[in-house]
Amino acid sequence: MALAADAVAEPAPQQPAPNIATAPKYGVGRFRLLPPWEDPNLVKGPVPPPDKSYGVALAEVVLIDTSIWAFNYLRGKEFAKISWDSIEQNFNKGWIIDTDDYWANGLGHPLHGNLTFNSARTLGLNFYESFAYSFVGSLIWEQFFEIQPPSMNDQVNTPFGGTMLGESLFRLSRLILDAGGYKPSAWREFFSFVFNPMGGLNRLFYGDKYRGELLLPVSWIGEFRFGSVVAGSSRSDRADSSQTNVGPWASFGAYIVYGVPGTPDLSLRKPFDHFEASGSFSLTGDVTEKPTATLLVRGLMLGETLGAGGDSGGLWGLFSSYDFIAPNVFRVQGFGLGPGVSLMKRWDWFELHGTGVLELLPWAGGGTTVPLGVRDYHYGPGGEAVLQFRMHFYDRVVVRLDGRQYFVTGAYARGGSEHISYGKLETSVRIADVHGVTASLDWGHRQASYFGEPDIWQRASVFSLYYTLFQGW
Amino acid sequence: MTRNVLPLPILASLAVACAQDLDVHIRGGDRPPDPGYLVMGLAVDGGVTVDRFQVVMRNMRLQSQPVDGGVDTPGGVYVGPGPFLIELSGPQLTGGTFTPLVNDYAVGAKGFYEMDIDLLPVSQGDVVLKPDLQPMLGKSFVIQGTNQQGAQFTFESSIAKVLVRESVFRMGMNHNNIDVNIAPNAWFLHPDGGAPLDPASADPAVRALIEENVAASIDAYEDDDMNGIPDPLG
Repeated sequence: MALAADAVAEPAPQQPAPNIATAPKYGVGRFRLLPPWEDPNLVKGPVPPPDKSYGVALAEVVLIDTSIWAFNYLRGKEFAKISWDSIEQNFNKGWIIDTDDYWANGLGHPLHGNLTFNSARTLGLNFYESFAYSFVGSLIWEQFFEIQPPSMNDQVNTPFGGTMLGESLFRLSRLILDAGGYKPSAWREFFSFVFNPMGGLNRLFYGDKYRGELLLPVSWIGEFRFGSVVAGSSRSDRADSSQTNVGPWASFGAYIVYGVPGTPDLSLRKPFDHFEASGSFSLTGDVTEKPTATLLVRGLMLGETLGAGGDSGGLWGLFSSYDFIAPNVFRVQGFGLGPGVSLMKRWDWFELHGTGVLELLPWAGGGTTVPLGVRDYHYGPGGEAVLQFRMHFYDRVVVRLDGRQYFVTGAYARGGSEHISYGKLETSVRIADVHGVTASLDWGHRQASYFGEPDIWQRASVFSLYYTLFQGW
Repeated sequence: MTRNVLPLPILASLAVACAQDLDVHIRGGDRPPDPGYLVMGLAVDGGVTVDRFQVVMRNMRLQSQPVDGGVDTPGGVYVGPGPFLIELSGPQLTGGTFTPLVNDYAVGAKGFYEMDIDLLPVSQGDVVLKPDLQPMLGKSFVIQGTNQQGAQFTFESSIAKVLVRESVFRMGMNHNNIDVNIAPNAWFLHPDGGAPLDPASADPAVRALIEENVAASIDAYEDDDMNGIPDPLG
């Protein structure tokens, strides 16, 4: 097995000249734009010498924590009203499991961790070093920048969730930037900044100093969607089997496969040389309410390819993931680690991809949007099983089936347990050039057990339609 | 910072995270402290002066979720089985001072959402186990003082009640403190705003109202910094 550890040096460029067939504009088989290295005008140098700055990265991590604290302090947030007494008390009290809002814990902290991770990552530090900086940044935040005692769940969600999200966004931002070579266009600079603000800021300050060699995947699939949740329903056995209809809501999302399994010359030397990420964000009809959202990131930490690729192949290894699923009646989130395999096979005009992953969730959360007491979710270890299929019909139609089963105990907080099933059926049709449409059906089911309460079950489903921008090679 | 010193903050943080102990203190006085009230010394609202308060508490337990008393939850802990004879007078009762009740109970770093405390009359069995409970035999609490007319009184109660106090008790890995707060300032106020309740009265209805007031005046909440105010949730 080829270890993906890169604990010391920033890697060499990932892509050799790939052995894929070329056409005037698109690749063969599934939809593919021609890769940038096929462009004779791509500026491939000069390559900046490898460089990294531990000191600047640490200063930026502290600055990020300080800035987030100052922002909240100026907004009058209670948690930000720190003092020497509160800091001393945080050390005296020690680590707790907090009772903060699910969104703050499940999404806010990983977003914070993404910033600290990428402050280090975009200053030349490697994956594991950047994780360490995010971990330390979270420690500093927990001990010093909140009046509430340091929280164990935050210390898990911030660096682990932040690293999963951060590495994905780092790779995407570099993909956008580096596809323009060493003379990227203004729009590449802009969108690279949007995907990775810390990377953008460091680029503004330091230019190409910490950029190193171009970081481009040998293959990737990208769909960027803008549309609407057309309709949906949620049903619960609580409140007399209530049922509510949802939508239409504005919605946008993305689906990314980086380092497509089965690609010839796919290199798996470093964490996240292969990853899959998807997310959607839907505004509800009431702007005062939380939106519905999903964020699913799964990357290969270490692994190796299977087969030569081309007409068949794949990869297997140890995956790590961060999931955040929040339809309008229940939610589940967690950081996971476990083995998995991803295979592909092509038959002329039809290409089938399948992925199976079993993960342990050392720290997961799940629950309802209806509080039971003061906490509306369980916290505890759990497990996750994932089975996914993706079918490409010519380069026109893509059908995806995604099934996930979560089991979350309440061992860390609240007791009880959660069984949450989540399914998705999506069909994307490319109509012209890179433009197409996607229809998506999301379905979820939750069964929860709480001591002294009858079991709870809930169902939710939404149907969405999107304009879709196809990318990838 | 080099990679060699990166683990230091982690180790430093973990080094202080080892005790996981819990203290429980009785705090006497209004919550939060009312300076105007404290000026009145021992007098409580309703014109009554309390010289001494004795109460027996037992089965102090934290529940892993709110269950409204009467049933113990999985993961719940008995931090103080007792019975505890609590005697308060002077500033102990009204001045916001702290009286230790439970020291260094070993508790895991997890959250609890309810504290239950039993008020029960002292039985002969209790006295056998704890002879110092003898003066409280058959009684749950005793109040001694001077009523609105300046007459001495001794109010004895044999109330049996489970005090259910929902709150968030987030136990940390180092040191934690819970206040069991007794706020006597409303003991002799009529709940409907009527005439103050006379503790020397033999009227069962008046006595029942005072008993309910006393039970309701006992609260429990997390107060790690022991400032008398429930800790913010952040």
